[in-house]
Amino acid sequence: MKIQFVLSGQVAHQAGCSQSQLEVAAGTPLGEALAAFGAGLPTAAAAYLDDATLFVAVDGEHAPDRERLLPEGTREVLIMSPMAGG
Amino acid sequence: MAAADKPGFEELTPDDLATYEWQLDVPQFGEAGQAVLKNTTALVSRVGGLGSPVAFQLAAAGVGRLILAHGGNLKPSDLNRQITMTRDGLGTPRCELAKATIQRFKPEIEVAAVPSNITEDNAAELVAQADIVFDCAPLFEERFLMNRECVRQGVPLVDAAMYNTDGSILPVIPGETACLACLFPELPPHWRRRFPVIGTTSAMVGTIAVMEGLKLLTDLPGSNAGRLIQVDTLNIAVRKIAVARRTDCAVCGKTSPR
Repeated sequence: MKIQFVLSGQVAHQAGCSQSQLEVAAGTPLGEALAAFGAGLPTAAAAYLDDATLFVAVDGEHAPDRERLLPEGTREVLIMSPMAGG
Repeated sequence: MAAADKPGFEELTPDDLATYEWQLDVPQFGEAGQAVLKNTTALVSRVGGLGSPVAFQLAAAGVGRLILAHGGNLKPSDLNRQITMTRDGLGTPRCELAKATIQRFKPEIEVAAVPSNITEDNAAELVAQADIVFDCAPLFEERFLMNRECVRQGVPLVDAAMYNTDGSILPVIPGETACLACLFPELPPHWRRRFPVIGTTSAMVGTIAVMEGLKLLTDLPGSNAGRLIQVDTLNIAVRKIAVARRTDCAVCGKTSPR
């Protein structure tokens, strides 16, 4: 299945894009999908994917568990670095 | 939250009715909602890029008392986004500049300018005075402190944040919905105090934060408490992410609604 990866915050800035698609097999653990996605990113952006404070959501639901399996029909993974004011 | 049975509750005056005439017609807001705002004290942590539009919109909506906490003086690089500041105030305290701007706009609003950022020494006292808190600070140490104190005292919090052309807003009802520490249990290692941002992004994010605050205070429907609002101001896209409380959250894991 094709999943839309949406990037936000510092990770998007480092990646130089806010969206990208990746083919992922149904049943893949979220952590593996993130690693596969990160392999296509610049090194500086990929480093953010290992950050424990990275906010990840799957189809509109916060997904802190990287072992979670991505079900058939998964459409979107949001990857957001923590932000603040200024 | 301010309620009609709160000691010292002030009714709307004829001047109030004239000033807020247009928004009194908003369904499920009306005079009851306006009276709540008039009797509300809102604490805004920092009046920079986010806190400036937050404070300004709270004043426009008719919040009766604002506490603006911000240490430090105005620099030229603040003027792309900190819209309660003015160039002739360079080198002077930002909380006082924000207070002056708001009081020129709405002299009837009480504004307390606190020339300090949120610290362990002042967080509890400032939150205790507030019916709602808007956290717009740039450092996670401050944000976590404010989150902890709001949860401890049961004061609703709207956390607003931004980076580049993106933003996020998290409305928190302590003991009911996920708090900031449920989402970010530790200090983000990559965060830097200075970051890219354009003023239109901070204005959009700050204004959404105030809208969420108004929903927490009044009967306006559609609160996103329990969701993180992610905003992409470049592509004008808004995502609402369901966020659950973590039972092992070090801040709110053992709290119940007040």
